[in-house]
Amino acid sequence: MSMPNDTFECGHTLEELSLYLDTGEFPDPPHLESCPECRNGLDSLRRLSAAGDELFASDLAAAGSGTDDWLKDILANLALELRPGRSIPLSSDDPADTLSETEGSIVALVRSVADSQPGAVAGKVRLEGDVTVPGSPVAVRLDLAVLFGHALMASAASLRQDLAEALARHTELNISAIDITITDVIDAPREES
Amino acid sequence: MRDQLDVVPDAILAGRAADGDTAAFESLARRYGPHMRAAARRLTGSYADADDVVQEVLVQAWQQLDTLREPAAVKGWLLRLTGSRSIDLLRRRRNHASLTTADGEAPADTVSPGAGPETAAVASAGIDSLKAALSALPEEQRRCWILKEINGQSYEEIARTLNISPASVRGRLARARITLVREMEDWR
Amino acid sequence: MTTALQQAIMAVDGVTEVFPARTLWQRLPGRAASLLQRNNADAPPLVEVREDGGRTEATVRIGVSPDARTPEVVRAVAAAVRSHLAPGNVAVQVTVVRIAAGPPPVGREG
Repeated sequence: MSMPNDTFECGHTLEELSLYLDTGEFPDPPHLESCPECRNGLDSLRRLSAAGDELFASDLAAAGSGTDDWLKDILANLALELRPGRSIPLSSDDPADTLSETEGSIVALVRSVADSQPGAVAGKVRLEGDVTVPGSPVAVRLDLAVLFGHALMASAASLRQDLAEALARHTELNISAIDITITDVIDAPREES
Repeated sequence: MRDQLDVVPDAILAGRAADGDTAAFESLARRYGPHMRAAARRLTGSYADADDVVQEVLVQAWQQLDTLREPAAVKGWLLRLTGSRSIDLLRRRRNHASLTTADGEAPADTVSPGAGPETAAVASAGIDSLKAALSALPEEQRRCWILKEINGQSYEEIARTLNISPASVRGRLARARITLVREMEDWR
Repeated sequence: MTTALQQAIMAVDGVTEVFPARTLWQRLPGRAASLLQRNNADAPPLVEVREDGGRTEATVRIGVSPDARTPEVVRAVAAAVRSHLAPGNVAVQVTVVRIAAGPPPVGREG
């Protein structure tokens, strides 16, 4: 329901001002600088927005910290399904046997090799190609965050080598490429004094 | 590794968690759990229900993380799920036709026994008048306002959560703000 | 409670853990694949052994050490299971679900 005194004498409404504050859109922007009613309306809405920010800050403080018991209890009660992904075959001596490893285990392996690289933290890992067919070419794509100060190119080259070795050791995949994308450079956390 | 994970960007954590890394998932939960809890409390008005919502959202998030198209947007996604679950809970509660507040649940704007003394100190006159005005809003407007200002959702996201059009969101939000401004300026 | 077959599998060089043949769930915090039924005396054995039309089928899920060579480990596990279930027509299914250092030793004796 609209309220009787919703529309200003200039013809604009508080609803238009509300939209303007959220999106920056307004039919006649220069008007906002000269019209006292619109300016008062905007001031009121901005005061409300500031009060909303205060309320949010207060609610957030009251909700506690991520390391508190309430969240620890929630996390401890979660039973998370393992995500195995596709089945990667391994060759067997006996035709009656089916030997394989999960895509999830290889993704985790890539991640842990990357994490072992000094200053590197692995992000998403993708095995592209049909890993279920022996001999099919597979490209490994890895996102990486690197701590500031570590030589990026040297890190990537050394990591590529470690990954190739780990994949040769633990899979029979035909690795056609190992692509590392450095997605983030992170400032090292400050030393606690 | 855990400490290192705490400083990496959301997209890295979301990518790892989507791949199955529980430590990264835990790190995300710690990072945004308090915001999710605050939003669920404000929407449901119940501290206990809010924690149930957070738990349900985390379970759903684990299951659906690999469907997230933009891992960098995981925070907004978690808050959107929190909004949806909170609204669902409110609908179920209303369907039980219990209109009294005799459940023993503390409304969100009183200090819970579990909260520390600093909670009372943070409250101010501005917040009190806003809380009072908020609780007097029609429920549909109140939800829009909370989803916008506390969950940080866009018009489109709020529209999806409430199953209405973005134009309706715009209208309800504006009416909420108009009423709140008037209530609070009367208070002053 | 571990069976002789589980012990035979664990004895294979490079095997770090034997996981339940069926669904895996993970608990937080920390270790992936800390499984719900490991300490439950009533739980079915981790290794599934079925008779199917004269053939014995065994299903095994394992963890492998990062220092081992996984293709060799799985073949050795299949051979160990076949040898343990001999004589007979045995088909072994071995799946590696984790490649990482094994869990720390449990306090109690198994």
